[in-house]
Amino acid sequence: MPSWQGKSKGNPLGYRIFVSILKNWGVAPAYALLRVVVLYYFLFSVGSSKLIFHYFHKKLHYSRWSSLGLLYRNYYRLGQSLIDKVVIMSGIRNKFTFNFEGEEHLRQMIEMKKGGLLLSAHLGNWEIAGHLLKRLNTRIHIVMYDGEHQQIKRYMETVTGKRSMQVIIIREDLSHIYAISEALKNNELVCIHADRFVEGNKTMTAPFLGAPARFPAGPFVLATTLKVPLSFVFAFKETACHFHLYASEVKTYQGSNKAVVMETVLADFVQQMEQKARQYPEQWFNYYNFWQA
Amino acid sequence: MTNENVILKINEFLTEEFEVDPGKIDPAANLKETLDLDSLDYIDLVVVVESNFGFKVKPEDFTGIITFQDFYDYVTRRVNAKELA
Repeated sequence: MPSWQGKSKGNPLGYRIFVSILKNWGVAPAYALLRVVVLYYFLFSVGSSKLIFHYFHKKLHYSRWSSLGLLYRNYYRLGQSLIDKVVIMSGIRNKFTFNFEGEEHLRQMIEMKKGGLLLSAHLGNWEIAGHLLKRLNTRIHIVMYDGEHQQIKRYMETVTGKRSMQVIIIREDLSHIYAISEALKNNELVCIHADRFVEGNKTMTAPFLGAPARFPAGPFVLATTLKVPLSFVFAFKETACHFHLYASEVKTYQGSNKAVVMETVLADFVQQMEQKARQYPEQWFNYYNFWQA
Repeated sequence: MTNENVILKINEFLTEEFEVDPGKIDPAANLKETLDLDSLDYIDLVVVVESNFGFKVKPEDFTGIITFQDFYDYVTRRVNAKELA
């Protein structure tokens, strides 16, 4: 099955151990332990390793050896993103630095007073991005499926507190639709991931890294229907302590033919994703067959 | 606006906006399945209803709408309520 299954991996004991290390000894020992944990996933998570290896070797055309190295780095970056999230959100002492390329575009978006849609992907660390967007002094809402295991989620909330962003959960009762509309009316920003789809939802197909891939139609429906300013936003870890955020120029997509406008937004998004995937190959966190029809 | 006019207008924008075959629009048919609506598509439906009929759709309104007939009834009721107000 090509779609994301709607749940993230992990077990609560592992999270507890890392949180305890972070609180008592800081970030460096947690990263050191992470290297060992990652080795376990590298050696025994055959299913996800195959898919990520395929991504490096067949899609980005790295050699087999380089792809193996990148596979290890991929698991390591994923672990770091979870650790960094705990560090930043729970206020643990750290030496993290950031630069924000395109921050002026988001400030311009807010000045337009029409709200704004931010499209992102599971490429880099979106939780960090959301946290840093707080300095724009507007509310950020993130639209998401409630995919984390409830047990882990409850535990993490006891450590970090609730997410700093407002979360709009996609639900059967359609309450998300009104929450999104209200947020935009209040000139707030709504962030949604436009790379993963859940089985049963409508998709659109576009060439991504040389082969057709399916993307969820929903974010592109929103962009086309609501006609609000839109920017593509990503955050990547560049060194152990440094993050780089990107926001693209603001654009409002309009046109008489809805299907054509949706295709245009998708093409622009895919182009940004391709560029970032090549620039930060090891920060690709979609552990399913992204290209299967 | 008469009930017939409301239904004609709804069918017209559904055909246009959702590219649904007019032959598939049947009062007893399931709205969600026929229009192939997913969780975020409903925003499109809300926007076209609000712009065509000039009333605000409330969060709870869609919970009881299963068939096209339910949808026609809902819109007709809201249009009539607006005209009486």
